Order: sequence, then C-alpha cells, then structure tokens
Amino acid sequence: MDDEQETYKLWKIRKTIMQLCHDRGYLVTQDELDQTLDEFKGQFGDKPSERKPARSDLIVLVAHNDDPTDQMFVFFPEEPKVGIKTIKTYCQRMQEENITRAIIVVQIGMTPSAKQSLTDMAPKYILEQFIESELLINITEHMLVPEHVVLTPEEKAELLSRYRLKESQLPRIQQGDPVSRYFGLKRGQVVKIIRNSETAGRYVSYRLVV
Amino acid sequence: MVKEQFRETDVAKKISHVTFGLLNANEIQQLSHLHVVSKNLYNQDGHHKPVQHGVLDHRMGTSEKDNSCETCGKGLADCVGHYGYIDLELPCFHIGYFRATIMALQTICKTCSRVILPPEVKQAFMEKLKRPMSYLQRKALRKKIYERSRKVSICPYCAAYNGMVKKCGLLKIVHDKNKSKTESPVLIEPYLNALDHNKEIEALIPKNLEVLNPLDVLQLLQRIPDEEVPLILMNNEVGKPSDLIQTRILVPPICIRPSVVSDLKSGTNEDDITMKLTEILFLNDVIQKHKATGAKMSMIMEDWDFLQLQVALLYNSETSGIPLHMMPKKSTRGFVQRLKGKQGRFRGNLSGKRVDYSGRTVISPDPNMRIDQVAVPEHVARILTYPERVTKSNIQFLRELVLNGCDHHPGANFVQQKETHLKKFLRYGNRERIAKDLKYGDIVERHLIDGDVVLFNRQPSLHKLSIQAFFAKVMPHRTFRFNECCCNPFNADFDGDEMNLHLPQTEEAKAEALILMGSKSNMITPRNGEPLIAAIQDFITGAYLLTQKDVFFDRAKACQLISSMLTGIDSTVRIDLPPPAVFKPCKLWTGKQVFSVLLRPNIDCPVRVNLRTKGKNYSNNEDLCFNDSFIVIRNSQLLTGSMDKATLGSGSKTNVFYIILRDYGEVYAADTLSRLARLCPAFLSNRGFSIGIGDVTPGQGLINAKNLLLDDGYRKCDGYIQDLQEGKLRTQPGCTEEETLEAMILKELSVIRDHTGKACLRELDKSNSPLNMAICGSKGSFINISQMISCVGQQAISGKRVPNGFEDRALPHFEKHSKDPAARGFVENSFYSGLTPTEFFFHTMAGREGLVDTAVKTAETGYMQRRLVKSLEDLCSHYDLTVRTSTNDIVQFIYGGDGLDPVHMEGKDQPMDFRRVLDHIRANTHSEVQQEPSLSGPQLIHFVEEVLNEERFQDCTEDFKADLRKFTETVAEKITKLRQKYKGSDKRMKAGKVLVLNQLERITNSQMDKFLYCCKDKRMRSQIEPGTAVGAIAAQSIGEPGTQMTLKTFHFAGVASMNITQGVPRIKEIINAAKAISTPIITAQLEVDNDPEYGRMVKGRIEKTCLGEVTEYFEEVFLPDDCFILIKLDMARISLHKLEVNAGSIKESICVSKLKVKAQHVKIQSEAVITVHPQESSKSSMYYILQFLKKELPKVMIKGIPSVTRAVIHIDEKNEELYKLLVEGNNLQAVIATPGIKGTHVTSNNTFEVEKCLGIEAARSTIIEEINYTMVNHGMSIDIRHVMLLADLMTFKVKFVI
Repeated sequence: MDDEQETYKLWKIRKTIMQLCHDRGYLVTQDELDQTLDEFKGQFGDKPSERKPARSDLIVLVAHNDDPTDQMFVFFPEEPKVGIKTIKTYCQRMQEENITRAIIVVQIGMTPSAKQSLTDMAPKYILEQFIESELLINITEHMLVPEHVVLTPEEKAELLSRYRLKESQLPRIQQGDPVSRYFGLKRGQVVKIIRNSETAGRYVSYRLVV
Repeated sequence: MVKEQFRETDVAKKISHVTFGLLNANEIQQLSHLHVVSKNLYNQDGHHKPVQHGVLDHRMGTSEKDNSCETCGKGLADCVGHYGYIDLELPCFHIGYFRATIMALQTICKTCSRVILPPEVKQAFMEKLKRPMSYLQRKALRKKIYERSRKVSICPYCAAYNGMVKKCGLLKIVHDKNKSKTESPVLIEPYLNALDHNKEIEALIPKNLEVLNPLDVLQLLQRIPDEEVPLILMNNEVGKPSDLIQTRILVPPICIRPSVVSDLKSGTNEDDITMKLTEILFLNDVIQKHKATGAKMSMIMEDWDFLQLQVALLYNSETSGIPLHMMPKKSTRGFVQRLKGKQGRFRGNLSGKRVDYSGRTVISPDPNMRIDQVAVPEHVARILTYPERVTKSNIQFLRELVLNGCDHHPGANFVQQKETHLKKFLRYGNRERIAKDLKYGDIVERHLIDGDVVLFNRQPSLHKLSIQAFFAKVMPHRTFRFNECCCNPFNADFDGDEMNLHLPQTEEAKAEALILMGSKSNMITPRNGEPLIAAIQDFITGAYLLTQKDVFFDRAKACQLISSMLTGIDSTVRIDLPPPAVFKPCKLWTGKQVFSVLLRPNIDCPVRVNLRTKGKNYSNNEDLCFNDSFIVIRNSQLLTGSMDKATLGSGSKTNVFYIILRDYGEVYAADTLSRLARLCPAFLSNRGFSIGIGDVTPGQGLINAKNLLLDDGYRKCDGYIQDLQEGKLRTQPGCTEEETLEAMILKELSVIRDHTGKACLRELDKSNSPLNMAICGSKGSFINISQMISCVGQQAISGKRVPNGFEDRALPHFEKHSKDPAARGFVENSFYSGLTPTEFFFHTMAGREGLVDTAVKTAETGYMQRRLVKSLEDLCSHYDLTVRTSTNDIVQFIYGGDGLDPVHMEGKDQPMDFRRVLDHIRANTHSEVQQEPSLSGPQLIHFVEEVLNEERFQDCTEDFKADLRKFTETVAEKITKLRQKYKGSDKRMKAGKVLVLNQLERITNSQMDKFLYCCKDKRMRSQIEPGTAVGAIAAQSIGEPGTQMTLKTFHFAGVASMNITQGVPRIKEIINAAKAISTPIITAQLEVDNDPEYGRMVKGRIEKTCLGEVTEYFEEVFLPDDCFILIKLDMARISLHKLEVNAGSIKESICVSKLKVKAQHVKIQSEAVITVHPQESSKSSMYYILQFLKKELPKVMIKGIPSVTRAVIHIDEKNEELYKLLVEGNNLQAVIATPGIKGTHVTSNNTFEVEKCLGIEAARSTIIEEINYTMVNHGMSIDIRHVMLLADLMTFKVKFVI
C-alpha cells in the first residue's frame, strides 16, 4: 500500500482513538480532536514505509477528566499479528507506570494465546483490542447508530426505581457489541440510548450491558 | 344456565414454581391400584369379561356404560380412572430420557461411578450450581460440564480409562474404550491369551467397544454418590439418575384407552396402547420363561431388545432407526403422538376445542342488511339458544316463547326451574302447563331472535377483525347474509365461502362482544388506521355514476331514489329535500344533491362533514379539474367532484365515512354507509349497468393505435437483437450482453401493454362499463381492460420471459435461439380477438405459475403468522406506558416512541391532520362567528400561545404543543402573506368598514379556541390504552398482509439484474435473523457523490478483481535455460476501470496468494509485463507447476474485497446528478473502511452484519427499515409502531429471537 493511503489511514485511526478517549471521559485537547491530515503529517511525518511515523510513535497516554491518576494507554503494535510477547512488554510498561487500562490497536489480529492472556489479566489490568479497520470511522457517528450515554450508578438506581424493575428486566446490550466496546462498558452498566424516532422525534431507551 | 359472575377468591395464591421430576419404581407402585401381569385381555369363557390382573381389569376404570369401576364404584362419566403397573423382567432405557442417560454416563466414570472431573474443577462447578439460575442458564451449564468431562480420559479417582459414550443403533449405548492411535498394553492384556489362539483378532482389538446394557447402566447410575448428583444437573429429591432407567412401567387408566365394541364382528377393538401393553406383558412372560429354563443367552438378549423396542414404541411410536426385522407391521399412536402437533391434545383439545352454540353455513350478500347485521336462517335460529332468566319484564314474552316450543321460530327449547334445576325439554310434555308455571328466576333457553348479539367468523382468522360481533336478524332460507361492505375484514367473497356463527351465552359476554368486537367498533384496522369496512364494488360504481355532472332528476325520480334508502330502522327518518339545482324549465335535482341528502338527511342531523381532497383521476387546477375529480364537501354538501374509490373505498383516509367516523362517531358512519348500500343498488338497477360483447370490441382507432405501438415495439426489439448480434449493444452495469438484452426487451414489451391500456382509456366510449369501473376504482384496472380489448401482453415466468423448454427454444414452433417477442411469450392478441395456440400455451404457463404461487404461499405465510404471533403474543402495554413481556421484562419504554394507538392515526403516523381539523371547524362555525373580528397573523400566534399556557393544556406533552405552535405559524404566515399581497387592492381599507380582505383565511378567537381544544381531545383520545395486547396486534398486522404478498422478486429500479429478494421470503429472512441472506446488498454513499469517475475509482477498490480480468494474455515461455509464465497486463483496461493496481502491487498479490510463489521468483520486466518463474519441487516437476500456475494465476485476486462479487454505480432516482455505490456481497466492515466511501452513511440490508459491525441499535433500525421497505414495495402500508415493536422484541434480549 502506498504511503499516501497508509498515512491517511493512520490519521483516521488516531483521530477515532482520540474521540474514543474523549467520549470515555479522558482528557483530550481540542487540537488533538480536530487534527487535520496535514497537521498529522507535520507531527509524525508522512512516510510510514520508512517508519515515519512508526506505529510506536503514535502511542497515546490520556488521563481521566475526574481523576488524573486514572490513565489509559493506547498501543499501536508494529507487527500485523500480535503475539503474546508484545502483550508482555506492554504489560511491563503498564506495571512500571502504574496504569491499569490500555487499548491495543492491532493491524490484522491477535494470536489466540495473546487473546487468552488479555482475559487472564482482566480484573487487574484491563486491555482491550481493536482492529484497525474498526477504527477507520467512528461508528458512533454512523447514521444508523443513535446516541449512547453511559449512566452513573445513581442514575441507574433511579431508572430502576422509576419503572420498578429488576436489573435483569431491562433490555440488554452485549459487552462485545461494537458500541459498548467503543465506550469500554462493563457488565452491569446501563446505557441510555437517544434515538431519533419517526413517531415522536426523540425517543429515549435504556440497555443493560451483559 | 346463566353463568355466575366471576369473583376473585379472598386468598390470592400464586404458584411460585413447578418442578418436573422422574417417577421411580416405588412411586409407580404407590400410584397404582393393581399389578398387571396377565397378557390376556378377556376370559375365554364366553362371557367376555376382562381377565383379573389383565390390562383391561375393571379396577383401572371402565370404558363401557353398563359397567362401573371396581375401585371407586363410579360409572363411565364420573370415574377418573386408576393406574396399574407392570414389572419389567429386565430394565429398559426410557426412549425420552435416552439422550439424558448418555449425557449422564459421559459425565461419570464407567468404573467407579464418580463424576469424572478433577476435584478442583468439580468444586468450581459446585459453586456455580449453588447460584439460582434460569432454565436456559442451567441448560448451558449442563452442556459445559458435559463438554468438560468429555475431555477427561483417566478417572482422577480410580485411574480407569474412560472414552466416549455413544449411541449405537437403536437403544444401544456403547462405551468406546479405544485409546486413540497409541494402543496401551493395558488394553491388550485381557486379550493376550486369545491372541495366542487366533491371530486374526489382532486388528479388532483397537476397536474396543463395550456395550452398556440397561442393567449395567442402572448399576452405574445407582452408584453415583449423592453429593455428585447435582453435577449432572439432577436433583435427588425429584428424580435420581437411576430413575432414568425403567424397571417398572405405569399402565394408564382404561378411560384414556377405551375398548370399542365393534358392530361388524363380535368382540372389541382395542386401543393401540392396550395392545402395546399386552405385547410388553407377553415379552415379559417369554423372558421369564427363558430365565427359568436357562435358555441361550442370545435368545434372552434378543427378547430383551424386543422388549426395549416395545416399551419405546409405547411412548413414542415414531422412533426412527428400528431394524427391519423388528419393524412393527402397522404404525400405532404412542403417548408422544397423542400430545404432539396440531391434532394433539394441547393444540387440538385443550387450546382449541369444538364448541356448542355455534353454526356454520354458506354466506351470501344482502345490501339491505345494515353494517352491523347478519341474517341468520330460521333453521339455525331454532337450534342456537340463549338462556334467559325470567324476570318481571319479560315473563309474558317468555311464556309465549315456551308455548311456541321447539318447532316454531320465536320459541324455546328448554326450561330450567330455579328450585329443582331440572331441565325440561319443550318438544314433549305439556307446554301450556310449563308456560303457566314459569316463575321469576327460571331459565328459558329461548331461540335466537332478532337483535341478539352473535359472533361471526371466517377462517383463516389472520387478524382480530376476522371475528366480529353482529346483531342477528332471523330470516328465511339457508344462508348467512350480511352487507357486502363487511367483506373486507373477513376477506370473504360469495363463491361458496362458509362462515361460522357463535352465540354468546351471558349478558356480560354480549356486552363485552358488542363493545370490543362489534363490527361498528371495528371499522378501522389497527394495521394502519385505515377504514376496512367501506363501500365496495357496485356501491362505488353507483356513487360514481350518481355524482357525475350530467345526472339530473325531476322531483318524482329524486324522491323515489331518496326514499329507497329508507328501510328498516331508518324508515321513519325525516328527509329535508334540498332546493332544486335547476328551477326552469322544470325543477331538477342533481345526483350530487341526492348524495348530499345521504350524508345529512335532515337539518336535525348533526353530521356536517368537510372534505377537500383529490380523487382518483385528479388532473390539475383543484376544483376546476377536467375529470371532475377534486372532491369538495362542505357542511355535508357535495359541491364538486365525483365520488370514487379514494373517497368511498377502503384503505384510504380521505374516505367520507372515515371522516364521519372520526368527527361524529361510529353510529353515524355506519348509518351513512348503510344508506349508501341501499341507495346505490337502487340507482344502479334503475339506470342499468351491464357488460356485453360491444364493450370489449375494439374500434378502428384502437386497432390502429395498437398496431402502431406493436410495430414500434417490435422494431425496437429487433434493433436490440441486431445490436447484440453485431456486438454493438451497450451493456448495463454489472450485466452480460444477454442479460442486458433480456432486460431491455422485457422493458420494451411491458411498456406496450401499459400504452395500449392508456390508448383504451383514450379511445373507448364514456359509457363503456368496464372502463367506468376501472376509472372509479370499483373493479378491474386499465390493464385488465386492455387485455380484453387490445393486447394481452408479455407473459412472465418468475420475472423473466418464457424460458427454453425445448432445445434452445420455448416451443417447437419457433426457430432455435430465437429472441423474437412472439417466441418468448409475448401475446399480441386480446382475449376478444382470441389467442393463437402458442400464445395460449404461454398464457397457461404464466397462469399455472400464479396457481402454484398461491398454493405455496398460503402454507408459508400461515406458518410465518403463527411464529410471529407466538413470539409477540404476551406483550402488552402497561400503566407506566411501557411494553412488557409476561415476565415483566421491558421491550419498549414507551409504546411506539410516543404511546399512541395506531387505530387513531388520522394522518400518516400522526394522530391528526391539523389542516383538516382547522378547515372542518372553520366551516362548521362559519355562521356563528360572523360578529367576531378576524385575527391577523401575529394576533393568531399570540392567542394560541395564551391558550396553550392555560390550565386545561397542562397535561399535554411539550412535543404536542410544539407541533401545534408550528402549525399555527404556517397558518399565520399564510394570513400575513395574503394581507400583504392584497393590501392596496382593498379600497375600503381606510373607511374602517367590514373588510373584504379580512374575510380571506378568516379565523376568529373562538374558532381557534375550538380548534385547539379539538386537537387536544383527539390527541388524548389516541393515547394507547393500558392493557392493550399490542404484541398480538403487531404480529397480526405484519403477518396478515404477508398472505396477500406474491412470492415474486422485484428489480432494483434503474439497475438491471440487481435483484433483491422481496415478499414473504424476505420478511422470513428478516424475522429469522438469517446469518446468510440470499441477496446481501450494501448501499454506500461516496465522499464525492456527483462524479461518476470518482465512483468508478472507489468501485475498483471494492469490487473483487482477478488477475485474469486485467491481462491481455498469459504465455508459457520456454527458453533453453529457463521457463516461465509471462503475464501481459492490459493497461488500457486498468486505466479504464480506474483500478489502483500496478505491476508492483500485482506482484505482491501473487506472492501472498495461495500459489506458494516466493517474491524472488516473480519479476517485474516492465510496467506491463510480469514473469513468474516456477520452481521445481520434490513433489512435482517443473512442467506441471508451470501448467498449474497458468491455470491458477488468472484467479489471483489483485484488488477489492473477496466477499464482494459485484459493485454497481447507481444513479439516484430523484437527483440525476447524485451517484452512490451498490455493493453486492457481505463484509460491511471492509466497505466502511474503504477510502472514498462516506463511512458514516453506509448501510446494509443484512441485519446480522450490521449488528456485528455497528451494534444492536443499528441492527434494530435496519430491521425496521428493511421490513418497511419490503412492505412498501408490495403496496402495503403498516403503521411504523408495529414494525418498531417487532424490531424491539428481536433486539431487546441481544440475540435475535423468534
């Protein structure tokens, strides 16, 4: 693939990642969100084939809005199919810097053992993986995807009491759903979904992450 | 027998749960009253008495009237029956638990009987088991434990080897002790001795299969330690694992397997189950005898097998895999067969049963019946009875009925006295005495009489309107008769249809039926809020002809016509004859005036309808429409326009009756419709309306027009064929030349028929009956007329021209490979001129296809409907506006997003059409508000704002208020504009007198107030009622139109051969949530959407392109020192298609393909030449590799997405400048990621893909969109709320259900 397209792709991916971090409540500057292709080239170079930028240059570290110690890494491994070795090095780095959350953006896929290692570390270190092609557009901006808002535990409690519901009686969304992966949702959280409805203009629904 | 009103008991008890368990041998004995041992049924002593301890022992109940049960002493009607038991000589597998048995065996060690899992795993599972779980979770866990234990081969407790447990033939379980590949010495050991003697068995040893017979299994299962039973998901309290094996079987009571005394031969016919039980007893005896005499083992085994089979057949006689020699000679009905299926106990006898107080006969039409009446034949009325309690007010009447008895119509069949509860049949006995003795509180079962409420039903009952309540009218003759207007909801016609009638038996049932099911209350279908009961056929024709411009009546005629609508209950209605339209030379009334009388017979009638709408044949210029098809009704006066299907017929919200119904209620609507049903036939039969040969004889003008069209069409088709032969035909995107030709010819030929249809309209006389019917929409279309008169047209079979049935031709009358219109099913004759033999044959082919279609689709849609209803039936709306399932799970937070009932939607998916409401109020109050000042634009807005903030509008939603404000603004704007425009022209403006200007669009305060109040009222009324079965209604609304859909596939507009599945198959696909749908299409918008070149470039990136498509040639080159394949690229083609490939990228593609060519062996010679050098390997010689490469290289994919077969650039229908890409194939993810595509605007019709790529919410909107698209394509309109509910149900539990 030629450099032009590769750079374009990297720019798109990084942009989506930035939006993702922003939507999850991490601190991202407006400049980074609005970065144009040219600015991207200026910052990182435009020859991916000559490792300018190398994927490792793109690594992002963001801190949460409410709690600056709560930080998250975004890794861009070089190899197309990520093995367990790379994961180990990332883990080490996270341990060193005392960060518990990370996103790994892989090019093609992961080896099964690497995937297994991600789940093994799950409660302590939360690593999520995305494939590059998933990040080329921000799916929350897609016209079919309505606005999703994550509810706080208090809001959730209020919702359940308003409708006199048990948690299990809410409609559900899977943890592996593309949108819940985008927001990094955990089991038990509730998302508020604001749909544009033909009948009512705006229609609010809720889904429980399972 | 008046039913006591239902009262809830004081103690409300709720069943918390139900547990199913296994019956063990002990419990069986406890349940039973006797041990059954004798295989004989009756004593052979001539008395025909059942044998003691036989299968028919009377201690198990009785099946004859003259014998009573020996256990409880009750007779046939009262004895519930008693069980017996049979002890099996040898244990048997239970056919129903066979799989469970295998699963249990797999989970335990076949040596020590402990669960085979390692201790820590066991512990983990035990922990999980302690949690409360739903049924599905338990099922999943059981599977997990099973899967886990399959992996353990060495028992952690006794170190024995365990293999797979498999089913082997019918009712045989084997344990495969065979260790894979490496045979262990332990295994061979027992056979060492045998090996010495017989070398031949060596090969068989690895196949070390151990047959587990029921005895072994029973022992194994019994030995499972109690604490480990939960691990096989069983519960010792309700069923031990060992109970899976039968040692004792229960003999059911005689009353469920009665003996039937045969009339023809002596003796009795016994039930299948009785026979099976005797067989089991017989085999039991045989085995016992063999055991006692010490017969050969093999004989016992054989009998054991047979016993097992018989026991299995007792439960399930459809057991498959029975060996041939054991096959029962005639099939029997086991217990499973008694319960299962449509005729089974549940669906056949419990959920649905045959009922009393019902009747069935042929139906026929009667326009003299009112909309809510059905004529019941006297025969039927004498049999159906209603139990009426004698009271002070009806005793005289009932006495007369009793005196009349059974055989005179208004009579009675039975009298039940209050004290004695004794029923007296009135056919015999002294009726005078009984009538005299009638007391208050007695119950008289009187005949059905006029005015009784009956339920009327026609199968298939596809929606709730298929059964409605009518008032009975007892009439002579033998058919049920009702007004034709009520045909639509039942989908009935009178070609021999039969319908059912039920008579509700209590006052409550009557009242409920009348309110909920009354035909007047159900004139509107909940599918989309359109009227279903409306004028049809002759009524429309009549009204159309009556309201023509040239219809005048003198006083006598007018009065006669008007009085024709006064019969029955209306016969005393006062009529105010309007002043005549023409006074001189004689007083004349127009047809439109007569019609106005129909709408509002006298000035006391409150109905003042207002309607302003386009008719079916509207041309232009509103009320000056050339076809007189702009209908204006003002205060119930038909001012202009002739009535037609759009204003009278069903399925249209501009229907006059619909508007009366909405504004004045169902009674007035029904009355008006009934008047129309009497007036129109009267007018039509006076005027005369018939069809003859003259109506279908074409005139010279028509013949000429047709010939012109035909010549033109044929010439064009010949031109296309010529083009094809010369290779000049321009192919359509994504089609071969042949396909293009077919598409173009088909289009050309179908145009001919449409054009001849139009020519008919032009050429035929105004008085032509079929034409009149087609114009007013009552029956038939222009195509039907043109088929009769001028040209039948192209016959299509599955959307194409007639296919080749012979060698390269459709029929032997034509030349081979002929593509002529006539050779491929074009029928140029009309039904009048007569079809030639070949044409006739083609026509039959298309006709047959239609027949097959209907036959296939009824079965298919029936099943679809059932599944839809089954999955949605428990959803209903609640008081907090949510829609929940029976387990209180939320499906929707607000029904349909706005909580409105589809029945009440006057506008398109909206509860009202503001414009119409305002016009209506303005017209109605015109005379009352003469004195009030007219509002200006800003005044109007201000006034509305004021009113909306008042107390009485507090309970309206903000959305609704916003809608009102928005509408007011448009009205205000119009007023302001008008006043601006004519400001100068009003000379009296300054004089301060009544301004003409202010009369334009005049609205006053009180009118606006009324309008707002009316809107609020309508809005509040349209709120969905809590408790409505919205699920069932949605299911019916989607399923019912399915039955009317044809199975055809449609072409994509503009793009040939981009077929997408339509109709029932498509709906099925969607609701099945099929993973692989038959025609996946991704619609993608382009970043630059007005440049076809750009589109071509993006298309190149997406469409799968192989090397062979862009090469001029592949050549094998043999040089003295080298050989290779030379690939010459077609650079012109590459640039034409804007493919982004070059020699370098192709080299890469070749290397990564599966050809195993290394990079150093592919050389780029020049921009357009690549050489591939094969390498000799140990497996194959150089030559073969070269040949292999030559064969495979063209298939190497060099660009695009592998799953995409085709991409087509599509020109937008509305805006010719806009281009989008239609991609045939899957992989939405990859298309979204393609550069040049507007990633946020890519949609797919594959719901499953969308769910994977964009999430459950996107999948939900795709489902809605796709169902809607399919329905609209077939001309069905369904309220969006129903589709939303279905989509929500499919997605609320994440996994698509149904």
